[in-house]
Amino acid sequence: MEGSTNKKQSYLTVNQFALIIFGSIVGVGILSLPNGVVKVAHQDGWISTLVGGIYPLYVVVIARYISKEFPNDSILILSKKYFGRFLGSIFNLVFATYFIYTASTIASFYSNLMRNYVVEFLTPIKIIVIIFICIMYAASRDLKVIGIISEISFYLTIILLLSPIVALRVASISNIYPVFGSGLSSIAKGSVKSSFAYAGAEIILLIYPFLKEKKKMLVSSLISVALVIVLYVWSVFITTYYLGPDIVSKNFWSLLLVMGSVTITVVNNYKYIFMFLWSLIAFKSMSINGYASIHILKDFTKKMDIKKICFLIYPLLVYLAFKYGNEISRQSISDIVLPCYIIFNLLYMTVIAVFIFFKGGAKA
Amino acid sequence: MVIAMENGDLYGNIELITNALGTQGSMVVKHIYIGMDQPLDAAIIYVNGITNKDIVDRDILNPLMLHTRENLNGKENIGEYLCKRYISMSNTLVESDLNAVVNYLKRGKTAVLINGATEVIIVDTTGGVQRAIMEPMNETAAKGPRDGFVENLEVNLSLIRRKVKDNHLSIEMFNIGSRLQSDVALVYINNIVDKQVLEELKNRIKAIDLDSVLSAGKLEQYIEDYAYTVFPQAYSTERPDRAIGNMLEGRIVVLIEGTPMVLTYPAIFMQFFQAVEDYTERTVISSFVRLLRIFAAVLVITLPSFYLTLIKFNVELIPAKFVTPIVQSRVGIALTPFLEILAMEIIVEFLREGGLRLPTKIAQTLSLVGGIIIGDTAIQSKMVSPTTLLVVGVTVISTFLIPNYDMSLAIRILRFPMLVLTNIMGIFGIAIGWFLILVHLSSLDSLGVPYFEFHKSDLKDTFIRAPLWKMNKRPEGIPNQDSIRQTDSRNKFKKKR
Repeated sequence: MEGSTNKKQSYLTVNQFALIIFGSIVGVGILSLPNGVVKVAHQDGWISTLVGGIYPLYVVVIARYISKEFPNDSILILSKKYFGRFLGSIFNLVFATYFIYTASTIASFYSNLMRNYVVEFLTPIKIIVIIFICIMYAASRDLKVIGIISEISFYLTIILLLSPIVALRVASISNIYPVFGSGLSSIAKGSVKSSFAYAGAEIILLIYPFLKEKKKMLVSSLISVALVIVLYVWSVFITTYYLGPDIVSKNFWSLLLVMGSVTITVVNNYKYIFMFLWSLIAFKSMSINGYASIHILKDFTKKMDIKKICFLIYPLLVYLAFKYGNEISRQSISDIVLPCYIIFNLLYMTVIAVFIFFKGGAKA
Repeated sequence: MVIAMENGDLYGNIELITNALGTQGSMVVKHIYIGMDQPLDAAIIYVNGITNKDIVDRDILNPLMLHTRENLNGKENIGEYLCKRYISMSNTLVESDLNAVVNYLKRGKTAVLINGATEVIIVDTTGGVQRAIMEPMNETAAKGPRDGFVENLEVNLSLIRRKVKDNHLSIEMFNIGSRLQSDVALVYINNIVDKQVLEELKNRIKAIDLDSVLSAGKLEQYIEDYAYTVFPQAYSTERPDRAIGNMLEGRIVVLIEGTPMVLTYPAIFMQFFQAVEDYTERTVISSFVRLLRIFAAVLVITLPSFYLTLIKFNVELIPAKFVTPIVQSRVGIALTPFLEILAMEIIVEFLREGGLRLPTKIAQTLSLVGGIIIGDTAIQSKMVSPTTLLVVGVTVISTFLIPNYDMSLAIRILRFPMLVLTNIMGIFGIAIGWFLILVHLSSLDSLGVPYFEFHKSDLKDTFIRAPLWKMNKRPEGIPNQDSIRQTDSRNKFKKKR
């Protein structure tokens, strides 16, 4: 930022770095995560989720490899270096659209959810317009701001996701039996499905140059991804355990049903408290994606002010989020688009890593 | 620029000083003779009101006029000779720069001019009537020292110096204000403070160009980066122990002449929720109080808005047993819930702002009329419901828990945008409001140091206050050179189990 004078303060701390990765993966999607997975893998959904965690782990390992060779260049520079200026820029643009897509789909998801449960008096366009004003405000700040927000929302996430622990009392063990009963092929299919929910770890490719202590990069990011996996498995497990595999897929936001089991005196409905606090987590995910997309686009137009990019991208985000429509259509779009992006991201970073491996690192 | 005194002509020199001090000033010039046989023409000059005349009479005039029993004509270095021989004062010096002499005179010192000498003797006779050191009105502590800063810079510096015997204590003087020329002192521990932050603060203070700095609050606004934020950008205190405590954490204390408030830089958000007693009371108790304060701050911002969402949008959220009394209390009330809360909040702000500057005797009437009569009649005249009044009352009481006045004002004002957001968007508005507050807070910085940031090792002294012997390191949130505060001395006597 212009006002900041202290250079060393603009770097991320290890905690912030790890929690941005955490925050980028864990967003509102976790509320409907059990649906897709359990539909395919039935009572073994949680095993699928565990296996699906390979995807973010792979991303982290690749990022570690790339950052070891080029500690100060993010993937944007590397892609131009290895694919050439033209092709590299196109790939970067696709990478940016991935974040734009994610930000807008989260907004649409969030507005559908909120309208369904809490603020039915607001139209979707109102919610989306207002959300993106806030998101653009947050995304136009320093990466450090995103880091601090991620830190705060991390603790919130942990508390909120562990709260359905009380559901263990009333659940039935027969809901998850027989383990491995749905067959290996179903579990494998479920894993692929769940790996989509792990999308978001790619942010690490953009932010590693900002980490102060590069040595701790691998450990911290692995811990944060491991935490994500544990929380995801826990969410799928508790949902299946509490509701049973047949009911899970009947609700768009099955995890929310589990939240219904939490009763606090005086508070009539824990779900509302949960959704209110979860809003912060949704905003944080959108801000991270917003930040990523703005900063990739910034790479194209070196001269343009960040604020101008925000103004340009804002209508696009609002339009997209509005166009996804209700939850069913949003999910069906997401089922098609997200796998494409995941495949693209996988290829994009793997190919760059391979290039680095063969063409040599920074020394070459 | 060094302007030498005129060639030693006494009258010429007096005129030079008179012109430099301003002819309308309350300058006192007394001509005297020094020495036997052929006495020397001399004069003493001081500014009336800021000097201690007893000292002038006893230690300058008396020895010079009555006890110089020698012929001083043609003496080499007459100024130094007189200082050494006759002026029985500890703090004297010989100066030949006119500007320096004038500066000393403005600060209550006395100048002795001798005919034929180009140098002037400066004697420290600073005095005049000052407010005595007393307990700070706005920051009292049950356990802890009772002294507070006063308006005099020298006294304030002495309060700090008396307590800090470290030889790395550094005091740097600056002069601000083209007209008032107030002295400003930067006090810090040289081997704790971060040099980058110090340099930045010095540059900013040097760059300030205005006619007067009358108070710490004014100086703060000339140093800060963010003019439009509601949050205070520097921590101001009247207590020397707080200032020193902050200094030992790596901060810089800025003292300004003429104000009992000192500023500490850099400021971080969580520090505004800490009070002196936190460190003098027991760990568990002060941790509890701290959590209470943070809860109160959250309550101030959220409670009125949350109440508004409950009665306007999400009635189903109110527990069944509460619904009936709340609904019944609202029967026949003309104002909408939003206007009702807003009106009460604004009336409370009226009372607060009105009572702030009233003499205590009238303030009692205000609290009687405001608190009891308005509260009671507002309900009876069906303007507001009792529940609303309860919510607003709880909010107001919560604001008093925030120990720092600046911060409590900041938190208080945030209620209003929050209410508006909630009125439009319900609970979604509260979420948006909080998100914006958090983003805004984390994008602030104080002299380049992040204003709102959490460090793992600092959590011992953030929301709770861990046992003091566990805080072996200085806070990481404030950059410093020497991070070790103490060692585990307790291990020496703790029994091993």
